[in-house]
Amino acid sequence: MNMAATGLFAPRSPPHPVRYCARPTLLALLAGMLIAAGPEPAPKEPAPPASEPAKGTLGEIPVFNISPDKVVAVLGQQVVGPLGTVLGRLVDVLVNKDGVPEAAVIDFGGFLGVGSRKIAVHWNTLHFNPGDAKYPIVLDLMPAQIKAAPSYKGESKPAAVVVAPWEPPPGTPGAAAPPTQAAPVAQSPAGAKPSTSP
Amino acid sequence: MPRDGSLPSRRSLRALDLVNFFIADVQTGFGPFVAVYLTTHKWTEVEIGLALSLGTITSVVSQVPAGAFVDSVRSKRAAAASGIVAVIGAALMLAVLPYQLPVVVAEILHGFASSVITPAVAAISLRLVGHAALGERLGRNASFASIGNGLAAGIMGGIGTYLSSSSVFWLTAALGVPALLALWHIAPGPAVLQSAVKNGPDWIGLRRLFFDRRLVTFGICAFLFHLSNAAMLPLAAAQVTKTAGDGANLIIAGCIVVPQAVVAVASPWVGRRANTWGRRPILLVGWGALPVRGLLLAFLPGPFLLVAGQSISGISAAVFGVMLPLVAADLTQDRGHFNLCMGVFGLCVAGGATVSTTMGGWIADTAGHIPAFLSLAAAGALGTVLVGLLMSETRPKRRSAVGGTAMNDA
Repeated sequence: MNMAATGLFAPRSPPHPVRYCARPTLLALLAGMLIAAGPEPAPKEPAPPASEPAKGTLGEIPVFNISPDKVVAVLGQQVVGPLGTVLGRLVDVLVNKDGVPEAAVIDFGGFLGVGSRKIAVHWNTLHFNPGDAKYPIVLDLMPAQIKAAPSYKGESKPAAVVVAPWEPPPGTPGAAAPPTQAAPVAQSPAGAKPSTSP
Repeated sequence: MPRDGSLPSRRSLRALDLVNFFIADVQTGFGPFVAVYLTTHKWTEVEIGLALSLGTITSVVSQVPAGAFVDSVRSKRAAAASGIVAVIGAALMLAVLPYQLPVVVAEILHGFASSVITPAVAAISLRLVGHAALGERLGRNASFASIGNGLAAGIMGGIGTYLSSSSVFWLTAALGVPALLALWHIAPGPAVLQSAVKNGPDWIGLRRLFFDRRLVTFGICAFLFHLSNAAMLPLAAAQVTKTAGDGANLIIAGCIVVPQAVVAVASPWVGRRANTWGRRPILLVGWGALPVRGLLLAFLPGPFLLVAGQSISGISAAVFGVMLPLVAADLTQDRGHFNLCMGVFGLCVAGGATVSTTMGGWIADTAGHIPAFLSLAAAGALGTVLVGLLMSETRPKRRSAVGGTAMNDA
C-alpha cells in the first residue's frame, strides 16, 4: 500500500529507525535536493492512488478487478461514530497469522496534532461502507467507551483491544465481511494475497 | 529611551511588528500537525516518525551554523527573506507532494530556514533600535508573534478539521507573502552597534564568546527550560483527550491559544522590566513558573483547570522569548557574533525540547502522567536554581538610563 515504504527508507525493525536510516537518508536527500533544484521536485515514484484494485491484465499475470464500491481503503481513513460524528482515523490493522484482522488502531482527538491518542478496537466493532465517501468506516462504540479505553502503545507492547460489549464473543464476524480488503494493509509486506471474494 | 544613532522610522517599527506576526503564523502549521496531515495520506507511524525526526535533527544541527551564516551576511533582511521563502517552499511541497522525498526535503528545509529566521529577525531588531531599547523592542516582537501564533493556531485548527488538512499548508504558504512584504518595508536601519552585528572570522572574539561563563550558564539554563517546558503541553493535552470526552478538542485548543494571549500581554512588560530591574529577576520569574506549572498540571483536577495551569506557560514563554535574544545581545555587545550566540542558545533550546518530549512521553507511558509532570517540574526547578546561583546579571552597566538603579551585580 505505502509505496513510500519501498524506496529509500525501507524501515527495519521499529526500535530506532532514525539511527539506522539517518545517514543514507541524508545522502539521498542531498541527491533529492539536486534533483529538486531542477525542473520539478517530484519524486521518482508515482503518485499514490490509494487504491487496492488491480486493473486490467498485465501480460501473463493473472489479475482480477475490484471495483471501488466493493472495498474500502482503510489506512488513514476517517472513522465515524454510530451517529456520524468523526472520531478519528484508522492508522493500523493488527492481523493474526492467517492474515485475518483482529483489531484496528484508531487515532483520535487532539487539536492541530497535539494531544491525540491511539486505541485498539476489535475488528468487529467496525462496519465498512464501500463507496460511501462520507462514512466509509463506522465504529460501533459509545464515546464514553472510547474515552475509557486504554491507549495503544505500539506493536511491541500487548495491545488492550476494546470489544463491543453487546457481542462478547470476539470470534464471530458480525457485520460486513471484513477479509476482503484486510490483507494488504497489515504490517506484512504489500504482496499479501487477496484471499477471498473477488 | 536613549537610542544610538538616529531614531528608526515609525514605518520600520510597524513593519517589524508585522514581520513577527506573520512569521509566527507561518511557523504554526509546522510541528505536530504535519503528523496528522501525513496520516491522512496513508503514511505509517514509522515513516512519519522518520520524516519528523529528520526535521528535528536538522533544526538541532543547523542552529549554530545558521547563526554563523546570519552573522556573515551583510543584509539580515535578505537572510530572513531567504528563510521565509524556504518555509513557503516547504509548505507548498507538503501541500502538493505528500510523498516521502518531498516531505523529507520540506522538513529539512523548514528546519534550516527556522534556524536562520529567528536570529535574523533578532538581528534586524537590534540594528533597528539599538541595544538600549532592545528589551522593549523584543517584548513587542514576542507580543506580536504570540498574537500571530494564537490566531493562526485557531484558524488552522479550524480549517484543518473542517476544510481539509492540506489547506493548512496552503494557508501557511500564503501567509509567508505578507511576511515578506512587511520585511521589505523595514528600512535597512542605522548601523548602530556595528560591533554587535559585525561579520567575518574573528578568532579572538569567538574564543572570548565561547569561554564566557555566562554563555555556558545561560545555555544550560535554556536547555533545562525546554527540557521542562516542551513536553508539558503534549502531556497535558493527552490527559485532556483521555478525560474530557466531547469537548476535548476545544479544551486543547484553549491550552494552546490562552497561553499565547498571556504572552501577548506579558511580553512588553517583561521587555521593559528587563531594562529597569535587570535580567536576573525576570529570568527567575520565567524559570520559576515552570515547576509551579508542572505541579499544577500534575495535581489539578479536571480539564478546565488544566487550561488555567497551562496558561502559566504564557509567563515562562514571554520571559524566554524576550530574554533569550536580549541576553545574547548583552553577551555580544562588545565583541560581536550576536547571531552565532543566538544559534548556540537555539541549539540548547532545540536539544532540550527534543529530549523533553522523548523523556516525558516515556515516563508517562511507563509510570503515568503524574510522575512525568513531576520530572518535568524538577527539571524546571533545577533550571531556576541554576539561574539563581550561577547566572550573573548581563545588563550592561553603562547606559542604565531608564531605571537609574545601580543594582548591577556583575
